[in-house]
Amino acid sequence: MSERFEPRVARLRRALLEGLGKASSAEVRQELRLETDAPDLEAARSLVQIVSACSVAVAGEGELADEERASRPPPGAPPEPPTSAADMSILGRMDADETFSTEDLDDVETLLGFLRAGSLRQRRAALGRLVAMHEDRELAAPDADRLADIASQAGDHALELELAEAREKLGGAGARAARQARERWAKLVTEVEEQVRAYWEGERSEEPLATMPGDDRAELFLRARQLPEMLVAHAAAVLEGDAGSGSQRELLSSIRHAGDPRLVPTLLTLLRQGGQDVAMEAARALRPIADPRVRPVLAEQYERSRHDGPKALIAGALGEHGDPRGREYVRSLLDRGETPVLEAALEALETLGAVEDTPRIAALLEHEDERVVHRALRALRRVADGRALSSLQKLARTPRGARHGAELDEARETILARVDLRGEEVEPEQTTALRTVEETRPALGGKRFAAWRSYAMGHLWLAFGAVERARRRLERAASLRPGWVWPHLVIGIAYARRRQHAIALSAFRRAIEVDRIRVERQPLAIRAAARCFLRRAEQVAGDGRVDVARGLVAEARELDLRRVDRALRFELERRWDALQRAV
Amino acid sequence: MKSRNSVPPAALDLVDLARRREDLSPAPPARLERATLELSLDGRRELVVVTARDGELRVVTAEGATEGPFVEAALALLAGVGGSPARSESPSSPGTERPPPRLPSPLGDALEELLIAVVRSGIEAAPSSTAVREALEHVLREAPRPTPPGLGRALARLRRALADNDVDMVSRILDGGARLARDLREELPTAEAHRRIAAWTHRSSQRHPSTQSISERELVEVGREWLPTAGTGSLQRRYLVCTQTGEVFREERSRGEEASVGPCPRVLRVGLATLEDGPAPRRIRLLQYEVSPALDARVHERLAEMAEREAERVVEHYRQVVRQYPALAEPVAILRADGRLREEGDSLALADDGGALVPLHAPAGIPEVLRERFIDACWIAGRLTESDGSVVLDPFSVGSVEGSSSRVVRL
Repeated sequence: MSERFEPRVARLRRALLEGLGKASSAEVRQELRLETDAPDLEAARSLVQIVSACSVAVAGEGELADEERASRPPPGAPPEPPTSAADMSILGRMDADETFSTEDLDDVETLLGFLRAGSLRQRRAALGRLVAMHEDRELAAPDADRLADIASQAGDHALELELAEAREKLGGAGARAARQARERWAKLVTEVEEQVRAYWEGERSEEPLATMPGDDRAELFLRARQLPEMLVAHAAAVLEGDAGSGSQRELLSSIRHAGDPRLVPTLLTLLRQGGQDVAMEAARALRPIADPRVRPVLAEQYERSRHDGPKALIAGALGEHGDPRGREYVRSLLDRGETPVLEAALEALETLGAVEDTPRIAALLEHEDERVVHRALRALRRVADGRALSSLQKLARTPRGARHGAELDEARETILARVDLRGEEVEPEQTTALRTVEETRPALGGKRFAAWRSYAMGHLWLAFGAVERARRRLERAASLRPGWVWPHLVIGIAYARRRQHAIALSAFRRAIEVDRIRVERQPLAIRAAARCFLRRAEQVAGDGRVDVARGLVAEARELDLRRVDRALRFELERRWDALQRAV
Repeated sequence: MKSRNSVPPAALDLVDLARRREDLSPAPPARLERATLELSLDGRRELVVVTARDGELRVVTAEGATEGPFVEAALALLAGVGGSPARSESPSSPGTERPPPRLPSPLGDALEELLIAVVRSGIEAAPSSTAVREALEHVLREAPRPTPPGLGRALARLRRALADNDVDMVSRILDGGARLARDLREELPTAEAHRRIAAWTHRSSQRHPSTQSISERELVEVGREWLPTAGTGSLQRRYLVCTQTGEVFREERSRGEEASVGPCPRVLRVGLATLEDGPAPRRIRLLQYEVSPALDARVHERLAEMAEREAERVVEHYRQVVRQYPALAEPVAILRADGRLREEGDSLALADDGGALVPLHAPAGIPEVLRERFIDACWIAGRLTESDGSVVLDPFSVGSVEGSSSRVVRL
């Protein structure tokens, strides 16, 4: 640009920055070769016209004047998170010192402790280290068995993919089951891929993810990171409303533990633009994803969010990413009375909670709402402070505690593991199991034999497909030998296989009444029962009987589901959340 | 020619006034390399920039036109032929020019109100100015419902530019809005005016249609992003590359609206679509198409072939689009990467064979993702913008090869 024009354009640019009100408008008009009393509109038009034309003429090749560069606000980096007080235990050091990792650990007990009680990053790292030790034959057989046991029972949805791979590598019966599960998953993926392709190519009118059973969908997405690109892209399209189907909400809650970075652009969009419920689910789904794009947007949305539910969950997600900025805010929500806010705060404290939060969280174990108690148990498990053990024992001794049996046990085990990692100890009486197996009295000899005979005949009739006759025989077996759970279970399984879930349900209930602990400890039995409750709940919910459906899911959740497939367990939780929102 | 003394001074233009200077004397020979001329013709004012580069003359108006009456007048003035009304043989007397017929336009009024509010308050104070906020809301109230994406996006970018104290972007958008306001008031808009109105409002006129149909094309969607827009909250933009011509189109939908179905990436076999005239990438509406979610090896190869390799061509493409539509232009590019991602200070840049760089200007987290997972990406696609006067790429997707499979990944 000519030297004569540069100062002029620079002056005009400054006038535009400062405004005609501040700059001497007469001088600006003179620069614009206008009369001093020219209307503002004319002056404004000329001003922007000249500045725009000059900027277009040098677009891409000019440099910003220093003065103007200085006036620009700095790039919007999220504020740095506040630093936490240093925790010098091994747990704290692993979080604070990025160079210190489980690769430096050989002690199996410590690694198992991390696997039970660490943060998500720590659990993942510990599991990886233990499996590597097993593959390098550095893990003794008893330790490998313990690891296999934890891998098969841990209700850790966020770690499911790694746990499934570990189960296969560890050998034994668990490996076989894991391999079969993987093959089943691979077959499911192939089927869904075909359905998705057919859907987009117009050969199928229903969107596949919306119509598939909930536990199949959960199973699909618990291994999301291994899904082919096309399925992930399809899921993203459904979530963003580009698939012509209304199944966004269902799918969003199903991918809560997917942990797949390929879903990050979509989840960030939903976090920014969705309503409260959608933003909350998006925050949950972003929590386990280790991706550099996540934290900045979570921080930005945390600062912008005005509603407590989403803000708390975003704070919790930030906590998982090592950013404790929302801790004080979440703590302040514990004084609020509204159940949804309390639930969100407790969920956030799973990642943000510190040991000093234990008394306040433990106090909520006496809350009237079961949902709050459930969340408080989970929070206590993650905070994992030894002081919570006495509160857990107190709850276990109440009738209410029976409904939370599995959660109480898991919380206790995690707390003990974390206490151990900190090098602390607890009172011996606090280390006892919270529940005991009840003994059943055996039937007398003659009746026992008659019961066996009826039981065998029942199986025979089932083999011939005569379900009604089989049922009568099995019921007779049950009446001859009270306390024998298997006749009821066989009836339940038989009817469930024939999709007669209403009839199967009553059989499973009788089995649970007779010997609940035994049902819960038999993987085949508890899986069949849980699936039956879920299927029946889906059926009645589809008929509009939401309250009945909610009761069924609540009943299933009170069982010890640790031996149930992760996908089924997750789907029960997801269905529970959905039915709660339908209130 | 009438005596100069008989022409009132206000009717004289620069040339005449310069000739009347009494201190005019032969000057040392100077080389004119660039001239910015402000011309008034038929009641309209226009800026024309004339440059000489490498022996070539380039003439362009502020609207991006390279031909037309203003261009001719500028060239004539510089060449010393033709003249102002004062030098014409039959000058018109003052007061006898009839202004062109004008229609009322509430949207035009609102756009001018916005212009005045921003210029009065100044860019620095505009974000906190009540007058500016109300003027923006006024524009949205007067805009057609739903808010046309062109207008909505321009207003959202204006808000952002005001917050960033970006003089270039604010001036371009306000100038574009002022021109639109004038066009909306024309009883018989010219073809240029129709083009501008269509670009902002996506409304084509029968007299000057601004759409064309295309058929039998294969398009590949390489990226999809949600962009802030005023009025409807956010706008989803899908970028579709024609595998035959290499041109990139954009398909847009506001939240709650419908558009073509399908995930990203996807391949579309288009039976019929309409294209709107407007800033590149041109806006497309798919009317008949088949969609496939799978991209085969051939498509991936074609995308890699079409990716731009030279930084200079990218910059030139940007400048060309911005010149044509200063207020609305958001050009995109697909740049060949192939291991050419470089660290430039705190950020990344793509280098071409000659070492020229196109810096990447990405939100937090994306540079780390590129460094960790896509340092050997095949190509990177993104929107071209300006930062500190340089053309930069805001990436939205990458194409990468892993083992034997290629993939397109949204960022």
